[in-house]
Amino acid sequence: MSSRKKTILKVIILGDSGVGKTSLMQQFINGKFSNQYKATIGADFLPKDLAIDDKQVTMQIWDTAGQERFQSLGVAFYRGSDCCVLVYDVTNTKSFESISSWKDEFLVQANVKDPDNFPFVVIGNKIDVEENKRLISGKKAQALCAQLGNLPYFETSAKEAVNVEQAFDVVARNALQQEESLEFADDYTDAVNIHVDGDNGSCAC
Amino acid sequence: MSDIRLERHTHSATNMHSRQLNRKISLLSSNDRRIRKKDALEKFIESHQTLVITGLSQLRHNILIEGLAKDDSGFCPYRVYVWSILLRIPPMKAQTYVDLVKAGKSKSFDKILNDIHRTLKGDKLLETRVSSEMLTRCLNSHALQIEAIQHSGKNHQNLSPYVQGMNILAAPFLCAAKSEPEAFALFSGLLTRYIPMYVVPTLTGVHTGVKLVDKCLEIVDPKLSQFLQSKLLQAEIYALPSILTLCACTPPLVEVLELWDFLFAYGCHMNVLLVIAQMILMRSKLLASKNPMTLLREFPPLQAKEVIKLAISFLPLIPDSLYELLCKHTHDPTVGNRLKDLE
Repeated sequence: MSSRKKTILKVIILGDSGVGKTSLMQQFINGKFSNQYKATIGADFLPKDLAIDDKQVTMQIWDTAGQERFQSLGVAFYRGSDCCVLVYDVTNTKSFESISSWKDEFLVQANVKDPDNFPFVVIGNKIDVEENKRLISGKKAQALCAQLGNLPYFETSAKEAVNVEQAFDVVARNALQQEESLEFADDYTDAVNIHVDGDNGSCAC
Repeated sequence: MSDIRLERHTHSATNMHSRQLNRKISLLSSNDRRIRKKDALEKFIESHQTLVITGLSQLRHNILIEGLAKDDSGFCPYRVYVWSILLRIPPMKAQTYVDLVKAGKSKSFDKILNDIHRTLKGDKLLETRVSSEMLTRCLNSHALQIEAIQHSGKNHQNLSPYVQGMNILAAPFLCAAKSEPEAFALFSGLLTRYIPMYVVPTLTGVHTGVKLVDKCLEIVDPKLSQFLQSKLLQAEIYALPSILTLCACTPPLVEVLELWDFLFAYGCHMNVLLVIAQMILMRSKLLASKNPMTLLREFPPLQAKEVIKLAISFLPLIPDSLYELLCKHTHDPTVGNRLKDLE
């Protein structure tokens, strides 16, 4: 393993504004929740090192602004993604209805080679709310995921750290599989963008 | 360095405006006089100016050289009048604002509400001076105004009633102003008159702005530019919030206010260079970092004076053709394509 470069997995999180994309990322990476997150403008990104079975990887999570799909972030954001997480809020019907258009938006922007087999994971967030506030049932969500191509589905609470680890474990595994399927394609070398080996000590001035 | 934008306008309304403003200031200051002594700059903005352009130049120069006075909390009591003069946005009638508030929810109300509780959280100055209700009313009123223009078919600039980031742009005005209508007039005027290309639904001007960051960084600091390019870190990835919000997304707000004094004096286009200046301040850290992205995702606390000084020092390096695009990118829809031609 020591002879190999560490694998970088790029994961992008999409979904309507306020569904909890930033909270999910923060909960997964820092194990914390706060009501204080700012509304994301453009995108934010955080890396996390983790082990999938015995393989060390760096997962690079890209959190995006969710206000409008037509405020498209452009190729720079989507390029080289290995997995896309689609998030909705179980108390917000509109955010659920947007899921499939976020998926389409991603496929258009990321220009992936094999759209039918690109890994997506769907997350219904905010399951910590009282039962009567919940508007989207698990059953309804499962049905949508089946229809969109048997996408893995998780229900989470970023606030109470329910199921977040489990969801991102599946995200990571899917991303790794995707990355490995592309390993020998040369034109994908531009996918990597935080990982640079070797000396840059000489750069400091 | 001359500012194309500011020199081009010579409003006949400006004289009337400054008279109104003077009256307003003298009314206010008769109450204030007992507790606060006016400094030279405050006296200057109250004095009659025969020639608007000369008066404005002097005001700009003063801001650049000395800056506005600050009290213990970093606050300048007459800042809002200076902004009003620099932006040439006269005070608005409170009734106009009251009518907008009475009109109720705009179509963007839910979006706005969704962002209110996540606007500049934890900033002391903001928390003491600006309530969520103020911010909501101000943003909703602007959305209503734009919706009315859309409805009348006169939205030629294709302005959006609300985009994320407007919440951050409104906060400094509410913080600096002495009344809500005043803050609203300045906020709304800034968006529609000075940075209309930033607040169209697709944020076109913001995307042009970040491309200009790349372009200018290439010239100002080729080494840093190449280093970031080697990591595929285009400005689009890290500079979008700072461009859209005129740097107001980086705390503390007291420093933002000072930075905005400069921006309103010399033009909002200068923001592109202010963003680069912030990067230069962390240059050696960036160059030594294996992972500069983590440093760029949140800029270090703003130091207005340092950033302004650096930004001005870049000016002689920027070729005229590029500077012209820089000046115009906040309001001219053709700049995006002209920038592509330049490449």
